[in-house]
Amino acid sequence: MSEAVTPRPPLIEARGLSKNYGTIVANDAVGVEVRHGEIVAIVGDNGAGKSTLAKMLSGAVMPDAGEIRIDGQQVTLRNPVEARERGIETIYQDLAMAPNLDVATNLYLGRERIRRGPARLFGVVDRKGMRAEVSGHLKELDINIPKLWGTPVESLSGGQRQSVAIARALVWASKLVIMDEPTAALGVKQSAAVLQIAKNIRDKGISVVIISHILPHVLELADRIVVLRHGRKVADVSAEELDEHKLIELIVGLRSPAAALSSTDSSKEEGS
Amino acid sequence: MSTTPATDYVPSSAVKDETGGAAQAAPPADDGSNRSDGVGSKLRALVLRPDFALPIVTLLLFLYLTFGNEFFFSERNLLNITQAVAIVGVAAAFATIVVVSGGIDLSPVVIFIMAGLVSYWALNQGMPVPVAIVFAVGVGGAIGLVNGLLIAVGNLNPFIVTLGTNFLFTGLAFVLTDGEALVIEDDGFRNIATSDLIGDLSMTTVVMAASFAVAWFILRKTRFGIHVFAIGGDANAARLSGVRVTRVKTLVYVVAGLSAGVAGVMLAASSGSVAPFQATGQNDLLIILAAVIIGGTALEGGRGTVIGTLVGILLLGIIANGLVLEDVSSFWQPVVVGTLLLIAIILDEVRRRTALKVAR
Repeated sequence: MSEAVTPRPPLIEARGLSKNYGTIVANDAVGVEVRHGEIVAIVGDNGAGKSTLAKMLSGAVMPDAGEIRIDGQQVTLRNPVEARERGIETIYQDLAMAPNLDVATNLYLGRERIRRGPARLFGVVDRKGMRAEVSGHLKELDINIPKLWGTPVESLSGGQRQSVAIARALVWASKLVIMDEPTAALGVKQSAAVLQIAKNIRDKGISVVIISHILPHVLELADRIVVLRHGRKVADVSAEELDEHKLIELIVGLRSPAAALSSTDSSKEEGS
Repeated sequence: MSTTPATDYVPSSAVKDETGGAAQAAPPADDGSNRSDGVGSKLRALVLRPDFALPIVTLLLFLYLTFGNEFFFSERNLLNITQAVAIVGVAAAFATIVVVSGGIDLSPVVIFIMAGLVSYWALNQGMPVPVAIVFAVGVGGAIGLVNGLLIAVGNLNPFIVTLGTNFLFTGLAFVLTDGEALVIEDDGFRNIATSDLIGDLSMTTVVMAASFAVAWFILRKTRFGIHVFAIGGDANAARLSGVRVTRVKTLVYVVAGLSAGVAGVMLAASSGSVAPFQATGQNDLLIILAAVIIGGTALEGGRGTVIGTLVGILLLGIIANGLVLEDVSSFWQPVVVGTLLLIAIILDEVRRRTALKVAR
């Protein structure tokens, strides 16, 4: 958590985000900061509040309290569309695609291209134009998906569907891509591919927030790691200061944040 | 056809050696259906596709009656068939959109009656026929709006909501009329049903054709149509993708209500009366839903075609007509329709299990 004042404000600065579901406290005054071109990982045990935090950043969930700033400006993200309009795209854990529609239609879902002229009045979609663009987009992103149209995505393999979801985010993202457990359903090779994609995104100057259970992935990929436990942020550390062992201790609460930050790995049972 | 080639996605830069890299880039010229299997599975696929099986069945029946019955294939008789299904056809065209959105609408028949009652009232007030029609269609839209708001905003079950409005307005129709048929005496209004619009095509037939054209256009060509499919497939995913689910769902029922209003005007004009007990028969409602399902639209939403419904309603019309011409008791009609319905859903289930890929 460096307090250094950078000349450019962080891409996203969230302060005091809280969210309750009934009596369950999903997030309690969590603050998180994502700088430009940075990969931030959010880790934590089941129920630690990772997904809720990500959903508040992506507009899918409205925080009960707290504020979000994008490029220094305070914003209210009432729904995913408002987040997308600010260049924030999300790859949801369940991929959030219409299973009965084809790849091209899913990529454009919610932002279909409309034909010009009188057809615009009726909202006639420009299928040809969208199809022509889709192939180009995917080639540019270096993602191969067979059968871009005419075949519903439900008949694609899990990996292919995942890549459609990734492609959709990449086509539209201009500032930030949020990935919620992007490798949860994937094999080793596919996971490696997803991680490579995350790096490619960052290299294009787009920031990434990634939620993952798979700690080696997190350590390899992230510039910074935010650890949540019981809805609170317990650590926010540069990935270089951590190894897998320390990270696990932070996640399960065997190690106090101070101990982790001091980076002396000899002490073990300092209590939480 | 059932096995997807295992070309898992991989960015070619990441694992180039194993996948052959960019050589596997999706062929943009491919229409996507990828039919590379043998003739046998192709044939099976065709038979299982409702958009093929249904026209084939309809065509066979048509040919059978054409060659087996001296009265069937005449201009008069064919026009009779289309005229007979025109009223339910108008409602069925838009009921397709409702079902594709994952909903169901049990209220069209009571909208028929309410639209008829409003026409009767408006004409009695001395309003001109076009104004009466606007009022009648409007009341259909209003009932549709009530359905839509309860279902989309209130997040209530569409079956229960429209069952509720069905009961409610059936009762209201009885209350308003004291249970008696009201005779509409305005000739201008009654001529709507009997006049021929284009050549020998009656106004009602033309309106039905136009309804199917409009419903097809909405579902296949517009952003609204894509969103209806998306909501039927996975409403939450659609919401996260930026589809305005509440608005689209509401509009679906409004459009269905408007179309039922149009059908109601046609019914009142052709019968020259409005009778509340027309609503209690509910046979028309079952015909509407049967046409949609036989036409291959999935009741769980997300899949279906307007053209399928058109063929479905024509098939039902030909069956009713054929039974009369063949001198078979009309009591057999529900037996045939029921059998067809069962075959349709069995085919649909088989199709789903074989994971046959049907473009939406």
